[in-house]
Amino acid sequence: MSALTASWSKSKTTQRRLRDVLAYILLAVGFVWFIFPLFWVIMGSLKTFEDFNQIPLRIFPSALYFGNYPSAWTSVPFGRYFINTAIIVSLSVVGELISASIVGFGFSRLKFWGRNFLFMVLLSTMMLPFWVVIIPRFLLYRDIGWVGTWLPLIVPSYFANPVYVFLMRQFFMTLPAELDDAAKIDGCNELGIFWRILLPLTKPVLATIAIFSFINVWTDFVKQVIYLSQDSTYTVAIGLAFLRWQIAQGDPVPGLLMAATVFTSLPMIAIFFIGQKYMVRGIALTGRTGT
Amino acid sequence: MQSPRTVASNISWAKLRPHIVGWAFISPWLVSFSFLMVYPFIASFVLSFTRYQLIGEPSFVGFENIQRMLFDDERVMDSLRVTFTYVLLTVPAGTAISVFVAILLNQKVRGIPFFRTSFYIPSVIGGVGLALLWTTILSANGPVNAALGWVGIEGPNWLFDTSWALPSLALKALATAGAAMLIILAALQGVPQHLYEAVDLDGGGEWAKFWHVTLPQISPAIFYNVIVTTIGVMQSFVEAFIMTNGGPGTATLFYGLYLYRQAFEFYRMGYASALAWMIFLIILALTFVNFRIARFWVYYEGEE
Repeated sequence: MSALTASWSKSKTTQRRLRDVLAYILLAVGFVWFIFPLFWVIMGSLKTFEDFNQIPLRIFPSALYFGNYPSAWTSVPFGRYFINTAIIVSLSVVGELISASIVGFGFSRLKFWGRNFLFMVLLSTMMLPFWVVIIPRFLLYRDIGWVGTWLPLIVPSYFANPVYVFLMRQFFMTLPAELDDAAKIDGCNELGIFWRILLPLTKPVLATIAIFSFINVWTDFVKQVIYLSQDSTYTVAIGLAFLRWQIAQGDPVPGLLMAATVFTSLPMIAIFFIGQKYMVRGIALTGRTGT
Repeated sequence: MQSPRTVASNISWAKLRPHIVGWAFISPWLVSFSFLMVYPFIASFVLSFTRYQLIGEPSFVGFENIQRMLFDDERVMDSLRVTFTYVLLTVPAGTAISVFVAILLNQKVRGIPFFRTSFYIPSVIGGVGLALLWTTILSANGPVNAALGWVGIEGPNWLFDTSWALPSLALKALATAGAAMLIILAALQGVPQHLYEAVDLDGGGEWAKFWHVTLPQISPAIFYNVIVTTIGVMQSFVEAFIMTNGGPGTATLFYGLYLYRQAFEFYRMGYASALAWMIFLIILALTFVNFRIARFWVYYEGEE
């Protein structure tokens, strides 16, 4: 009897082990599938022009060559574009944080006429296609003289993105109502409850929103290309596009393009590593990455 | 002594106050909702019936734009065909991959955080950077063709080949299904453990667990992903703009790219608005169809 149990549990562990091995094989395949492109570009950025013409093609460079980086950095004025993008991104992030927390507070901790209906409306606007509103928005910004400036990229951030409002609201709903009641007894008004009692508790969501909006604004090429028209205002994404078109017109330096891809991706990857925890939680909660 | 009138106004102020405060708190959103959502939504509908090249006033042209869009402009049908094909190439396969990868990431083995991070990284890069990355991967003498060469296949010049350009863009989309993967992973982690124990008691194996517990339980998350990615993919732009410029020919002329050109290269604001409203209606119809189909495969708790 005990022998039987032993052999049964043994086969169970073998089965378990087989499963683990299979899982690791598949995880390795996934790793190659998702990471190889990035790895290839990093290796390519360290290759000389001759390396690319070798047959058969090699993954690793023949020697580490860093020359692509300075030439990519100066081929387009990336220094200025990085500063421009950093200004646009940081002003937008501040706006998203302020407006989403205020509006999220309103939708979760206050009771007023039309609240639930308006919140349903807010949720439904998350599904509205971008293209159906872009032309009148462009004309509106043109009429007030904003086209060609950063204002159309920054100012809307101060008027509450529905995805971030949703995220804030869901978090505020988890905080106990006693907090508000206690603060009211102490003579706090709504602004005081929001600012002094609840906002300090929302740091994790604020982090999530900051990361989402950082990444989304940084990579939001469509709006940048529509609204910006002068070299002095261009962004990193536009600079990358320029580089792409230069190369399409016959400037044959693949390493240069790869180097530019690497250094323009670094801010995103750095932010992701710093705030991964918050980001994963935010995606799980809202089912979106902020757009 | 207070006069009756002040008392009355005090009472109504006390009653009104919470509503006023509430509306004040949500006012930033009310502003963007009115000026950046409702107004543009209606204005683009009105513009659809005009000719407007950015100079002077829009002139009313009746159904001319709609007539051109539906019957005379071949490019519109080309771009719709391309866009629908792209949806069919990316949404079902992308959903399957993200479910599969999420299940893989839900296994109880060591090192999962490492794999989860690496699988998500391409999605973080996003935008133009990711498009450029894949441009180099798919170049004629790039690694994909080198790998095919090892097994004796001569690969095409992916992005410049009429029949391969669109599948190339789809391949790129499938290698960056990060957000969907994380949403489904979260759903997997929310499946109540006792349901699996029930299958154990009934003597069911792994397959029974997957088919009768996991899949129904995560079907709402899968459905949500299908909706959101379909809406997103229908509006694709950057991939084609950066990687292929819509070519070769019209092989990757996404609807979004065609609309962008009409609006911001040819400044045909009226015609582009008509195009925008058509894609809005198509997306609305698609979402509706998706909801209809969902009745047959999405499981909601508390339904029989």
